Amino acid sequence: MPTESQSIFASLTPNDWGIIFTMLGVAFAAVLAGIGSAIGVGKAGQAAAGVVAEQPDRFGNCMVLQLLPGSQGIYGFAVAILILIFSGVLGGDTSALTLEKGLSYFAASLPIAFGGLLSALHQSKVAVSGIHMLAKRPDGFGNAMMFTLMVETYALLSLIISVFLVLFA
Amino acid sequence: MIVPMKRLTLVALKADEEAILRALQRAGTVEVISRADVTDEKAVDEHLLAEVQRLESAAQLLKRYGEKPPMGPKPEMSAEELFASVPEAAELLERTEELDKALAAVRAEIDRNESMIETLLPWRQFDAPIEMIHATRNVRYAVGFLPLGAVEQLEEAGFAVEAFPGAREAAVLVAASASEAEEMQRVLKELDFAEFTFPAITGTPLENIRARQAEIASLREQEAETVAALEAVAKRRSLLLEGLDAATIERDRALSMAAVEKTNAAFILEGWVRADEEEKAQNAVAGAAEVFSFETRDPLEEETPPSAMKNKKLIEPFESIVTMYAYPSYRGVDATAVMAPFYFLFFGMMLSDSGYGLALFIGGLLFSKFMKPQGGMAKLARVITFGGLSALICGPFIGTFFGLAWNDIFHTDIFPLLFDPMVDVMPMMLLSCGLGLVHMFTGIIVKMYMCFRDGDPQSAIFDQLSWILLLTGLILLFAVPALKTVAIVLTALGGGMLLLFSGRSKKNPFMRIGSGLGALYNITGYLSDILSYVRIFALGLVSGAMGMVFNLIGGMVYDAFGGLGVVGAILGCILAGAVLLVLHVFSLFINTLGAYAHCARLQFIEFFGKFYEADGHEFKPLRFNTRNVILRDK
Repeated sequence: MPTESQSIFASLTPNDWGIIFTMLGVAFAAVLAGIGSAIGVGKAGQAAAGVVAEQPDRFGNCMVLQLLPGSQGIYGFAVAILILIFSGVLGGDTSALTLEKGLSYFAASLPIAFGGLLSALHQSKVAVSGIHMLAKRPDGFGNAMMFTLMVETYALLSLIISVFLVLFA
Repeated sequence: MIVPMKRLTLVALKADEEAILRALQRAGTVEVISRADVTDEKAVDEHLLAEVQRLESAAQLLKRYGEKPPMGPKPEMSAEELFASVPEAAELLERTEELDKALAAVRAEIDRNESMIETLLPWRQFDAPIEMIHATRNVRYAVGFLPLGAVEQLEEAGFAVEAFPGAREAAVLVAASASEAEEMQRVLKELDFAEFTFPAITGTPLENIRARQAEIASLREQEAETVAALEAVAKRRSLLLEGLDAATIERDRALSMAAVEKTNAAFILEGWVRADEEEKAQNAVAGAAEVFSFETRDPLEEETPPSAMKNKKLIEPFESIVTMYAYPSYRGVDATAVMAPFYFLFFGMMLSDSGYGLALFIGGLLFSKFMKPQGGMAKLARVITFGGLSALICGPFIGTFFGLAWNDIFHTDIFPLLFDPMVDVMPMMLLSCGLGLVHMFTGIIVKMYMCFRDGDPQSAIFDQLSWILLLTGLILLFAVPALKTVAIVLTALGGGMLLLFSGRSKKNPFMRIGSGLGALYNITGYLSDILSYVRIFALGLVSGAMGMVFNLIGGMVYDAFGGLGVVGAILGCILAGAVLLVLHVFSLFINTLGAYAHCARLQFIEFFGKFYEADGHEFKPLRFNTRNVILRDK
């Protein structure tokens, strides 16, 4: 009922809103980047399993390529933790979290959330192609890794901006 | 450095060919050049090629039947010992193939019997011998399957029916007098009758099923015996692997021999030999034949010799990073020596944890010592070991110890000695980019050296030095306002050189300025290159953050047992220890992978892009190439 929900929101203090947005930021950073990496590592893993089924000695190289789209999830996780620590949520003292602060933390999560999500998805495509390349050209590992790492740059740039925003929020 | 090569022309008697090539292969110093008109495969004894294939697939097969070989280095032996294993390995190969064939035959037989049983199963209640079902003068039979409901309809139609209902359909035997046969066929067709033909056997279906089952039982015994025999053979799989290595050596030599030009009595071998191993090669030939001509000369301008690298033992492992990118051009430079210090430093800064560094360092040393890796793996192991050492050193300056702050460990406030990347973000970023700038300038300077060496000082000054001046000037302009005049002069000098001299080959002044502007636009490339080095900071931050969070989690696990007294404390310690171990191993793995890969990227893109000429091909001498054993005193 509208009146009731209005009253619920009305009862929230700016501090509460700050906490809510901070938490949202934590969730965004961890979840979106994590989804990207999970899908990315998953796809690359399928391709790797296909190659390793035929050529078991490719396992090591394939696994490295499979893991490359996994870093975004870790970056998202790192940003989530940084927000938790710097906002004071992890220390238990959230009294300084104003609405502006909360929104700032929320904004801080966005670069790595979306940069991580999309770069992981696209990186996995390169990783899959690289793994297929390994099946045909065993000595192509270095090249395949470099192609895959090219995408990673943008996840790293997102990460850096997210970290900046957290530290200066 | 890149090893100089000599072009070798060796002429000797055909009778000595085998002995000479054998000696050269043992010395491992000569790469034989294929004659253009020889297609390797044809001139080679096919038996040798097939032998390698057979041994490989047999070794692969036995892998399934043997226990996993214990961890440890590959066996060490001399070449003589390796070749001595050949007859026994051949025997083992025969035996393996025989057993494999026998096993396949037994399994096929089992399959055949099983499918026969399946065929007969619907008829198991039919208690007359199968051979009795055949048309007589007055009676016609129809054998097959009907849908369950259709049986009654058939009976109603007045035919003699014997039905054995199954789960979905009924097996039926229908009899009719010869005159009614056509009518019977018509009715059956309407009822969706599927005709069935008994296999050519005698006796009742049940008898047959029993007989087949007995046969399967005995076949299973045979199968088990064969598998056991294979398992016994698999215990000696290492012998097969030795045979494989020996056969590979034989094949390699045969391939090289096929590439050698021959006359009636002599052969002419063209090849490349490392200048520093020329004598070794000559001695090898002298040891194998008395009459020969061994001549070498420097490579001609139009020839492209293969590239081999030689470096001090300390930086040799980093060759593996360079070759992962590409072999250097024979007339280019070997980037290993200039790259190694940067790789070392960046790796440590990216990992930035002394604990992880220590683990990698010790782990790497132990791995190299006890697993005795060979070739590329050995180099990689040492790169990682060095990386660990670097992280160990970098830890106190910008990092942590297993995610713990140094200050918490030593109860001081002086750590980190340089800065804490989590607090002093800007300094840490500037440090990363600054080191990046040094890295890039080093690359430009190497390129300048190459230009001077090749007698092109104009390029060195106008295309390379100009960038150093321009970039230095621009940075001074923003960073050190006090040196404004110097900065402006440098910027103007560098920029001016680029603007005016980039198009120095062009006569038209407008075209010339045009290419100058184009060159200046490259500044964006340099800026993005510099920015790329913030990954040093970012990866360091991630490894620090991961370690810290994992410690927090470990602490929570320990705290969860806080209220349970001494028992709780012990339990907490054990569980928290286990959790911490798993988490930190994970973190170490991920962060090492990241540092390894991103360091390589910084070398390949930002550094090699400035100077590296990567169109060389690897020097692949004819030698003892073994994958499964380590050869002693080659």
